[in-house]
Amino acid sequence: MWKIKSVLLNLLLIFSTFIFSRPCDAQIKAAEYQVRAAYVANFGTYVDWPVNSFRDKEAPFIIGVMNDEKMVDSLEQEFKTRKIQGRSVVIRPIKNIKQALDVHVLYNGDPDHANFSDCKKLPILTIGLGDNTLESGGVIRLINDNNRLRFEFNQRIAERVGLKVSAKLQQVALRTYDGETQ
Amino acid sequence: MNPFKRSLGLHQKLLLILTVGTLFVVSIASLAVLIYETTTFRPKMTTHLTTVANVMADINQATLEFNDANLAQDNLSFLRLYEGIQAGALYRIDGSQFAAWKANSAQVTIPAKLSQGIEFTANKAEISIPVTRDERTLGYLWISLKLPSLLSRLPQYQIMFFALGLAILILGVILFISTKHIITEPIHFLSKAAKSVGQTNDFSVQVPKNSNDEIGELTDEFNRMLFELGARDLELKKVRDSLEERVIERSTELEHAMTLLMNNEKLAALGNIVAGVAHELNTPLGNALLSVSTLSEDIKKIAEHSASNTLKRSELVNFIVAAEALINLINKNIERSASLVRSFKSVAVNEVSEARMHFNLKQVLDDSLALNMPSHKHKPIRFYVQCDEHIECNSYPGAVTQIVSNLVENSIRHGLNSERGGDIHILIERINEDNVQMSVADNGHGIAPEHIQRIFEPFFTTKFGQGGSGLGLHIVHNLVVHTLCGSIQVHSKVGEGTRFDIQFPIHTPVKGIYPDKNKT
Repeated sequence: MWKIKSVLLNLLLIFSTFIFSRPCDAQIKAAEYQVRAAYVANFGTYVDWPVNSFRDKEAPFIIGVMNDEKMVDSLEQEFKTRKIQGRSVVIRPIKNIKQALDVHVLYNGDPDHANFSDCKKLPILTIGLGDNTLESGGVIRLINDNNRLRFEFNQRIAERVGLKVSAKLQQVALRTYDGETQ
Repeated sequence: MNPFKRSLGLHQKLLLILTVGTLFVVSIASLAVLIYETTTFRPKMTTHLTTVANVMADINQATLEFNDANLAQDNLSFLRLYEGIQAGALYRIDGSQFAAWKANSAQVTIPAKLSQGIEFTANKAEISIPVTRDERTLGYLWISLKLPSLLSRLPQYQIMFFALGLAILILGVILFISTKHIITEPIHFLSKAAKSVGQTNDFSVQVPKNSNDEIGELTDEFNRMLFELGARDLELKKVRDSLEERVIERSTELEHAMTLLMNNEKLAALGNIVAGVAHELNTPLGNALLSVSTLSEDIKKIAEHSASNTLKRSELVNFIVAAEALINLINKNIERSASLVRSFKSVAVNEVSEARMHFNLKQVLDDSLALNMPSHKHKPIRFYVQCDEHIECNSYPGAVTQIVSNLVENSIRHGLNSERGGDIHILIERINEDNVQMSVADNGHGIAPEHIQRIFEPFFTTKFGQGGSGLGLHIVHNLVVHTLCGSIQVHSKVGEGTRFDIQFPIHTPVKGIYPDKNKT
């Protein structure tokens, strides 16, 4: 089956090369969003939350999205059928940080307003884009490293809020901070 | 058992069995290991490869999900730590190669496309599995493993074989020592004791008993047998010592009995002659008596006629003629009787006295035949006698008579058919200056070849219980050899007849078996 998929993808790639030989910025953005959404979705599979983070066994996995409506769409697309750790996934747009008290993952799409200091004590996997994401209490910072999406990781905060981050994820991280940043 | 094995001692045989047994067990174990290795190798390799692939797939989940090819490369390079793995590669979900690693010396091509599962070829195995997380396929992993050859795999069993061989060897040595102590040593003692007894005849040897098992019982029995043998040997020695005396005693008794029997046989022969003579005398004496009686009556008649003066001249003449005839008749018969008595006297004296004397051989032969022939005159037997009349001997006429008598009797009784009769030829001739040969031959049944060697043995007879004593020819042999100092040969052919040839000196040497009886 994967062979067929591979062939189809190749065909699609060739087709795109000829038809859209100069992709516009909007298209690039869309692809980047997809990758970013996939990263956000995948982070959830490498982290264990404290048991009391979930109301019960059936409680959904909640991903909060701040300042990025497109990401909401991309994630909703991603999690139409997919589950995280056996739980259905709810994408919740967040206007106010106080709405994010019961989320498991909080994504802030605005690099300029990345402040996670309000939820520094909550077991939330906070993901931001800004330079001071980790300093402001975020656990993961997404970085564009030579047109390749990478991430940094703050282990101390993750440990403090009770998140157990898989070594596999730490291994892939571009950098891992182990100290108190703020 | 071949001669090599037969020549080996019990110890060597045991050692040989243990060595062969050890080699056999090691061979069987080697074969078992080979079969085990061949049959379990592929499943073992499959397990090994699957485990490595699963570990590699697991640690590469994040690299695929977060697109970190460098880390994936690093992770794949850990495959070098696994023995035999020569290459590995990760593929994205779309089938494009994500990361790859190959051992320096490996001569393997990383495939551009993958087929799922595990594949074995002659010298390598390749596995391809999907990398999944939370039931999502993230990509694919491919690993190639170089398969070691059977020969290169075997050294791993070296220690096992060595340990096995050593264990069997130690066990063998323990068994050998135990067997030696329990079985071979006691048997060796027994064998040594038996050999010693065989060489020295010393039955007092006792083998020490070390156990109460079968070997112990064998030792007891052996000792008991030695004791018994010793006792019997002693007894045997005593009997052997007394045996010689007993043999001499019995031989003397036997000789005495033989002499008695021979004398009886001679007397019996003499009895036969007496009966024959009596019968022969009866006829002439009867004739003489009848003649005398007739003459007496005639004389009485003539006397009466003479007294009464009625005697006629012609009557007297007739009487005289008749009387002369009768007297002649009487004379002849009395002469015949006298001749018979003379012969008998001569023979009887010779027979009984065994005297040595001068005699005419022809005369002795005639006397013997005269005495023997009458008893067979009613049988159809023809005698043909040929004898030189001038042979004067100085020997034992009684022996000659008895030899002739016994041989003739033997021919009539055993050789010739009692109804049809036959011929008996007696030929006596001088064969040189000092020796004569007497041949007595018949044309009877002959003697069977299996009997001919035994006819001179005492008591050998083919007519046992029919009057044959089995001593006749034995006596002849004794008389010829010992008395006449001659020799006797027998020639016989079944159905044609038998001939006895006897040579003896005309003058018997003085030194004989009866030297004290040679005085005449």
